Amino acid sequence: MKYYIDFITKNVTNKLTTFEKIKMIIRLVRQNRVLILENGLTPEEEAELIKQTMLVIDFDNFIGLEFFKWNRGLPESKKFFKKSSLANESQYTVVAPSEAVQVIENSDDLLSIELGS
Amino acid sequence: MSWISKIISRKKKKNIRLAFYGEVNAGKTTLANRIANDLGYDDLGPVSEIPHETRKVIKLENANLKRDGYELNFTLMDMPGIASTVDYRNFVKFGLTEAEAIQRAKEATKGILEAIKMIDQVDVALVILDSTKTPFEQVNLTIIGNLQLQKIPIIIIANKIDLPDSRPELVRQTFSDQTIVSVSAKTGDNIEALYDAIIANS
Repeated sequence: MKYYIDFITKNVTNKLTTFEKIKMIIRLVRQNRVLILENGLTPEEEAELIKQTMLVIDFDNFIGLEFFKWNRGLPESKKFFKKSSLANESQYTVVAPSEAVQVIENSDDLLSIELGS
Repeated sequence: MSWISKIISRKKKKNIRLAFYGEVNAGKTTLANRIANDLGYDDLGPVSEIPHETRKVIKLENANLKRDGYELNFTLMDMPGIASTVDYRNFVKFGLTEAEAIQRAKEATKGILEAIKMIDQVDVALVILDSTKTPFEQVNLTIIGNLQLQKIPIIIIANKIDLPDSRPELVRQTFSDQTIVSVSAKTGDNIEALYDAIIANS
């Protein structure tokens, strides 16, 4: 299986409603694309992504997706808020087909993912 | 409200909805059963090593917790584990037939939807983390982020401290601004601290 990596700028996602954004993400992930979103998803959008994913899982062709919000070099006191709260600046969200990724390391400073078939 | 009326109002509280959230196999139902048993009730649900054992919201209604003169009436809601992937083939590895596994997967997707939709109906949330794993599991961050947006009080549980590779200190470092209690739902270790935290955050 071939996977493709798409870097998507905030210029694209900022024009979309949450619904449109989630639909686009799921459509692309189902086409075996690993997405790097320059403007990371908000917690509400992440919850919506999970909900919409549950609605389209068909068990044979699409078993779901994995996503990771990530940013670099956060000071200790900011870690929690940067990882999970409203603040969205300088955060990337990576979204990928479940079967395509295996997390090697997910720590403060490094998100390492193995892509496989 | 005067300090006297605040104290009086805390003596007997209205029935709050206390929900257990977390990733799959974090020990939510084990903890829910522990609490139910401590309060004199039977187990709420079965526990299994097969993922997505809890696929519907299980409720213990009208439970009552008394601590140091305070009395808390609550409905405990054990939520299905949250995940962004449901692969029936994982269930087959545990001995289920393909038909059983697909049925379980279908029920699991519905359960995840139900759990997420119910976030705004919760008064206090216990987010249960498996402290043998990284606290950066995305579903945990998503759940906590959404609870924060709804301004729902959160108690983070670093569960499974009975296991040798448990690292509750990592949970504390990651969520340093939150109420965190380290427990073993399996052995009951430090469960009293959890009850104190529930009273304090309700």
